[in-house]
Amino acid sequence: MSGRGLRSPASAAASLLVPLALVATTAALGAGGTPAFEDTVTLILCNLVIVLGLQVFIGNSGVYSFGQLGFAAGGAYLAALLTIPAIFTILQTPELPKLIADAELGPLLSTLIAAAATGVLAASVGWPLMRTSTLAIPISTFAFLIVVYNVLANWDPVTGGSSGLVSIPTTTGIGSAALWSGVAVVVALAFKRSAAGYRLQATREDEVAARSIGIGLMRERLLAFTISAMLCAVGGALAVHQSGTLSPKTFYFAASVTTITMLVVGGARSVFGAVVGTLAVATVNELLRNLEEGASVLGLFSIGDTPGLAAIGLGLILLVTMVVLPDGLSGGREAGEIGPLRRWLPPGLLPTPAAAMAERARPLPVTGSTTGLRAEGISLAFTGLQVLRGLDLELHPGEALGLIGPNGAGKTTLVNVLSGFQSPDSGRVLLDGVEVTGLSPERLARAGIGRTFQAALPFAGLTVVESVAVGAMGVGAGRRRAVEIAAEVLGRLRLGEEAQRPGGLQPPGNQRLLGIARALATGPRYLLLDEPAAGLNDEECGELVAILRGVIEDFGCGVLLIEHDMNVVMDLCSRVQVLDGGETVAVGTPEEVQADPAVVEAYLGTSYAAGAHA
Amino acid sequence: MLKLRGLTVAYGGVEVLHGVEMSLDEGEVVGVVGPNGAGKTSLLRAICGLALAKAGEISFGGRPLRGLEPEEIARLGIALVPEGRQIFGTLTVGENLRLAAPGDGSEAMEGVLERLPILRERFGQRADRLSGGEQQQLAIARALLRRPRLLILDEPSLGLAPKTIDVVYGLLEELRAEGTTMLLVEQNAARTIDFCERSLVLAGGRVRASGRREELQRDPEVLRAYMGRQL
Amino acid sequence: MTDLAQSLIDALALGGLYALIAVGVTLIYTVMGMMNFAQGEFIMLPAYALYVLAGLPFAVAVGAALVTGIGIAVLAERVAFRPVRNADLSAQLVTSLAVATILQNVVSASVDARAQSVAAPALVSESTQIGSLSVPNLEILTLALTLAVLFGLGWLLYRTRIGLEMRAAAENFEMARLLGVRANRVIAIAFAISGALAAMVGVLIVMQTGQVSPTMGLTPVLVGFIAVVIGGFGRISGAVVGGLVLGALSSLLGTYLPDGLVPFRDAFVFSLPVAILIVRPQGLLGSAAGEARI
Repeated sequence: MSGRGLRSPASAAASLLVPLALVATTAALGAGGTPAFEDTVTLILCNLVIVLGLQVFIGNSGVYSFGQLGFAAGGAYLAALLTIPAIFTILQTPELPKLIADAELGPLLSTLIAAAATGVLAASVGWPLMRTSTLAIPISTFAFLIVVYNVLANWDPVTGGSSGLVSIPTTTGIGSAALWSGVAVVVALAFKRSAAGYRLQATREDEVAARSIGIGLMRERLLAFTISAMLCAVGGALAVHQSGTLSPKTFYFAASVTTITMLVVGGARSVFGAVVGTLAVATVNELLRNLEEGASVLGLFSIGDTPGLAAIGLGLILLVTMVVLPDGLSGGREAGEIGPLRRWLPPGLLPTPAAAMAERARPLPVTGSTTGLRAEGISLAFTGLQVLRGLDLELHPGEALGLIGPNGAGKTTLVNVLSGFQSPDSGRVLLDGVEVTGLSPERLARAGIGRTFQAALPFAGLTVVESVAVGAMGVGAGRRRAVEIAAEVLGRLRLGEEAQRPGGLQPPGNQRLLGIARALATGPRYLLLDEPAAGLNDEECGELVAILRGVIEDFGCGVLLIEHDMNVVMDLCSRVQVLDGGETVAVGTPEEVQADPAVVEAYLGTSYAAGAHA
Repeated sequence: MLKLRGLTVAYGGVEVLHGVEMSLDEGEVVGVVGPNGAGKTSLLRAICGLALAKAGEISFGGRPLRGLEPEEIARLGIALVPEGRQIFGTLTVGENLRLAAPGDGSEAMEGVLERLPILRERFGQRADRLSGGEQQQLAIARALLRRPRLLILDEPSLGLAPKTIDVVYGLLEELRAEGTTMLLVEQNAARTIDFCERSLVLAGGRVRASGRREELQRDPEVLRAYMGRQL
Repeated sequence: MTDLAQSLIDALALGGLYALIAVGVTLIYTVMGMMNFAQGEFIMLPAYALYVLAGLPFAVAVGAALVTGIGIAVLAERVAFRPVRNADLSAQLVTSLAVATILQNVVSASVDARAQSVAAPALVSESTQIGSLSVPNLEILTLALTLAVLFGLGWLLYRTRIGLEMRAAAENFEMARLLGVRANRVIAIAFAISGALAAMVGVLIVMQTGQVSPTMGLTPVLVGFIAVVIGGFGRISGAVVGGLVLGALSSLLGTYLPDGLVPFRDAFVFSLPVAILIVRPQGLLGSAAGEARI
């Protein structure tokens, strides 16, 4: 849970202890004050549990769900109904099933049951919701919130309708609120630092790159959605056992805005941010609420009775944050990531003599007649243009095949087809004899096809070592194994020094290498590289060639290289295939292809072809 | 008319152009060639205000262009025919043209339709029904309607059949004869260097060679920029 | 038979209202790529103009409502949305949420948090006899207004220069700018039209319910979003279809749901889009994902 291998022990400890210390301090302050103050602080801590629930989903996925408070409501209602003494339950909710109505459980048990039941609900509701597109999730979860409200407010005989429930035992004290907050901090951090958490963060950073390393969007989001819902349910249950009453309006739009504000102001990406944001916004909220009742400011003038002032203040804070400080007060970082605690290298990254990896994420392919990544007769038309015309291509394990041709020839499109990002209109793709045409990118990644992108598509918010480790996690490695693989790969690509630096701030050459490292971490049989040498100088190109040669020898994978830098192609590739206008113009050894006048003509035009031949 | 001094452009930390120097006088037709990834499109985008110049100057008719919004630069008289044509598919041919014609412009419209009769034929059709070559003609017509002082074309022959390319270049030849100032960016070096009086060879974000057509046609640097050191 | 015809007219009228909301949301989406949470407040504030100006002639109040709608929309764009124009979509969505909250609570604080009643002109509350049907005037008005708006918008978009610029900007904003189209102007006008549409919706809702409340915009904005989504993002025709479908569904459910389930009508209506989105993630009219997933 402490991010072993990806963070220094000190950093991991700080990230955990600082938020816990904040919670403890807040609780201590609350306990030492007036009963009214203690109640306020208790409620703030209950809110914190909900905000941490929001952080688990929103912070890690980058997608805003407006429905999480629907789960808080659900959890609150169920827990309340389980704890309200039977005599009162009969009066308020006459048609409630006897099992629940008669139950008079203690706070812990009712909270746990509510959380579990909400988890089941979230998984069921989340399954269709997470299948909708990224754009549609905020809207469909918003719809969910309103549906929940609608049901709670109108199903009088079971939920008490719009008047809600009363006589809820007030069992939540500042101690239990603090305890649960601590638990929530631990859960949120544990998830964030788990393999599942990293995979989800990869989808937040770049959906396309995430799919290319085997990560399924819907699956990862659903898991976080469910955990998030359960935390929200706990928060809801706690809150109503502090106030003693509950109505459908308690966890509806206003509360959604408040909790989202708390998360955004603190910095959605970090647990520390969630805690800081909650405390900061709650403090301001309380101050403004006191002003609402009318106060004199510095004895100079009075503000009259203005309900809603606090909410306006919150709205303004949210607005200003979005414009000025979009990453929130914490900058999206955990406590252990601020300042000097970062500097640390995971073991295995220091330069060692080149050694082949003893274990691999995937065994070496057995050479046989059907091995190879094959494209047969691939045709594809796109917005009216015929981009690929009946193309054939063969990539064998252990070889480097260069794919060259002028701009617009269809090279990247072909790689898209081979890696599942585009489906051909006709033709087949075969992976070691098995037809894989049209399979999704994530499935192909898990089957052994790795690729990089022209635009590098870095995981800007993850560190270098995390970006590579998540590649291994995407195809199923556990976190510890993934770190070992990442250490090996980074060492090989001489990026070890950069391990703890953010992926987004790397110079262009490194970003491309990072893309290669990430793809390598998936243990591919076939590696498709899209212009890896772009932006590299001569020396860096030489290093790249050496690295790739080593990769082919040690890993045994087949490498397809789209490249414009002829030096790289000639040095590395045993075979070269030339594309122009969606068709193959030439296939052969580098020397053959270079001297082929048809090839020179494709690139430069007729007058140069004559020159090349001479 | 157009002057670039020490132009450096970066996208998110990646420098795609380093210290590019270039100048273009009125009536000239200058080419920019180079392999993919050389920075040709970044050069054009910087001129048109779509990409931020990290350092250096761009001036047009003496006016600095850095920091201006794209629509302001367009109104100064620079017209771009972008890579991939980027006509508005959901609009008709006529609407695409009308969008470009400032004011009433019916006279200018007539002139353009005379020159490119295929557009008159397809006037009411949705632009995404046109063939690649027709779309290219539409894109150029659209740029012409703005009566630009400088016409910039980004890979006009991309994705077109050879015969269509001939038609397009025929049109460009007419424009050159009429004295239109043009900046032509292409991957196909031979045709471009042959067509333009002067050209620059861009590779790896830097100018590798430049000069008049006769000089460049003999310059081994051109071949090297494309095919690597072996040749 | 009369009942069926009556229900259909009810359904159409509600569908028309929802279509108006959806079009307002879509206009902003097409030029900015943003789903505007504050659209509900663009509906609510003009409604309050009717309340505040209750004593004045109705026409004047409606005029004020229109001005309010346009004004608040343009102001919000200038102050709140322009600074985040280039931020990512989540940031824009949260910004619109902030704007919505602020506006809601300003009204709450300055007027009242509780609902207030507004009297509609007598003519509106009456019905007209058409054949054997007794059609509420309000429904006639809504239908007429919807048709007028659709024609007007169609005329604006397809027959005027600014409409041409808006359609071009919606398809390819960058290219439009390269042709000299002024980005700020196009966006401001999209917001202004959106605000006007929202004002009309606000006035119609007030006349229907006889009430205004600070949170009255919440359900309409959700309706707008869902209509846009099920119609297929970013297309005005899709928004209209989505609005009609949702409105018709809501109205028909209201008429034909068994009594016990009537209070849960909203729950049924809002569960529909999820079902549609699972089957067709791109919405009813959205273009199928034939393009590269990259």
